[in-house]
Amino acid sequence: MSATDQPLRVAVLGDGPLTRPMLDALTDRTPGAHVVAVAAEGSTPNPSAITRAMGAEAVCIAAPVADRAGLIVTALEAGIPVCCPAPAAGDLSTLDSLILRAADAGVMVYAPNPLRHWLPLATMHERRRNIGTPLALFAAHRTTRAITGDLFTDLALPLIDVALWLVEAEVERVQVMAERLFSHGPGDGPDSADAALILLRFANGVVATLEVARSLPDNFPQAEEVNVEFLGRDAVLRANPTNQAITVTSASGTMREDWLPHPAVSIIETFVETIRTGATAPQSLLDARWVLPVLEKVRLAATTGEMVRVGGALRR
Amino acid sequence: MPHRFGIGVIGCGTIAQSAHLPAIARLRARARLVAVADVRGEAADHAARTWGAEEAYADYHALLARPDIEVVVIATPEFLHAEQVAAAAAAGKHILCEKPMAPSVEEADAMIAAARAAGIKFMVGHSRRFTPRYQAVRAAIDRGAIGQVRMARENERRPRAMYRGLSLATGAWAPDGERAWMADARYSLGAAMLNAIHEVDLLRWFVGDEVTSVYAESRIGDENAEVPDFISIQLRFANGALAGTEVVTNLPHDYPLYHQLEVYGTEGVIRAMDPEMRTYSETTTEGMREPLNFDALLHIDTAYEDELRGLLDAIEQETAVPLPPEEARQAVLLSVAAVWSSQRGQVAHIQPDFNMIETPEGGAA
Repeated sequence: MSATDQPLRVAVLGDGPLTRPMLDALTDRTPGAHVVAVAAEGSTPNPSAITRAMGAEAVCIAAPVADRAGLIVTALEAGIPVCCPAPAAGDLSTLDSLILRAADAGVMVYAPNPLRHWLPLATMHERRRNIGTPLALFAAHRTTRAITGDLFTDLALPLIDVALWLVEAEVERVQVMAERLFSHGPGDGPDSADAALILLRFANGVVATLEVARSLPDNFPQAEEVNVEFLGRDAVLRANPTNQAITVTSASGTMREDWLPHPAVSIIETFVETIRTGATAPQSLLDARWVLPVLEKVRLAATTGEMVRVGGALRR
Repeated sequence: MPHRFGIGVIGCGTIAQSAHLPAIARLRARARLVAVADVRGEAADHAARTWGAEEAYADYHALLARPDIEVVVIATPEFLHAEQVAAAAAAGKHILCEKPMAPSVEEADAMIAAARAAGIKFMVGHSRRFTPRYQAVRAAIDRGAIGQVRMARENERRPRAMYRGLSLATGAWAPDGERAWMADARYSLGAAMLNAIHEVDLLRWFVGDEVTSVYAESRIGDENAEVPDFISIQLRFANGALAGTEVVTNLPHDYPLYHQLEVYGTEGVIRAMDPEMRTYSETTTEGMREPLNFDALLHIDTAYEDELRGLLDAIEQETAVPLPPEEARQAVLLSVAAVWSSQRGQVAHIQPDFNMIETPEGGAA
């Protein structure tokens, strides 16, 4: 076996919802990659140290959003290609800083939106032109109440990205109603919201109705659910990527077992292939540059309670 | 032997033929169809022949003049309701008026005043309030199954075939012979009134509070229509709850998933989703169809029968009608606010007494 045929040595950094799916994908589904290090719970991951000690050639970041930018910077300083699921940053200034650092370092940063890697949503995207004149998009991402984190960064931003990806037009205006409805704790107002109804009006007339909420009871059969419907004059496309499961009822109760490949599988496969071929990352930090401005308007609309115009071309 | 009420039906279009006339027939032990009226004489004749009315009129005033009619069912487009309710009330008839109550809050208030002045029973047929599916939802909320309602969504998606009149013997009425009234800006406000009034009424019923602000985006998808056939509405309630509804009436033929209701409470969630309520399907070389979904929800079930029975009970027992017209009036306010918002791209704030829209200048609209 030649050196280039050797499995890619990958380190997985951070303890978040994607840690286990990424490890499973690297271990079971990606023969071209090999996990050499995991820095997760209770550790302070340092990509430089890990790379030196373990000889990692690539880094997958699975940390919570707040920790991602710092991990990307240290990976860039070590000169290691990075896979960091979107959002890599929750605000424009941090994102712009990362973009500049990645360009200076000449290191590839792959920043995929996991939602785009659910097979039903990828299929919807492939077949989006089949619906004729698009009328409207409905998309919901709900999680159980115990899951914490910033609602807008964690849930709204990836869903806005999906909306832009499917509708293929600029957002003209947004309106948001957001509240803390299901959780208790300090803080009030949009910053602590756990539910938001978001309306996006696109330049081509499409209206996207987005719902993001930590509204599912904690004993709900699944920790999260995603529903997307793309309504067109000639067809309606409907994707329910998170309800693909079998149920097993036994003496110990009813268990739910997902069977659809987790997006991490497609993400890791794409990452490894991109490194192997030297291709451009299909979703880079730059791609987030057209989502974050919309998110910032969404936050503004949530704060003011009034409609906010987005205006101007947002894409790079 | 129970009293059999003499019934007159004004308007013989889609909703009369598919819902009200069959309901009267099923209630034959208590109701007798005496006469029907429709400005389209052939529609009135057809309904009279089909459902066994003694007389068909092109002028509804002739129907109202009959002393053997005690109750009128008004199944005309909403732009005619205020005038017809006032005339029926003045004639001393009890009234079941199809939703939407009226295209404006002012007309709704005038209808309530006319009914009060005449001392007759007046009810607006928000049929979803009598639909078993939604009654089960409300009952679960009432018994505290999910705690306090914090968020709710009801999406309604209809194929365009329904929008154009359900392929009945008489299609949708075109007052000027051009386009159906429901697609004509002179006669209709579009999806906000035609369908979304159901959803805003349900959401308000389930949340159990008044709305403080409304935002909506709408669009026209059908090239033959002048009014929106799509609207997405956000509602904020006085108790902090949020609700949303997305209504579209222009989807491809045979789209089967009409209703998607979700109610989230502090202690749980209730769902009533068409995809999970398949009662009947046909799989052919053309694909799978579920023709019973729409019918099962709206026209085979007992909603229209129960709302008429509720009115007859109230007349007989001299009690309040099961759905006060003031409730329907608030639904009109929310639909009008959604139209106001979507036309201006502004949030419609409701006045503190929940009576009217508060304009940016501080006035009422």
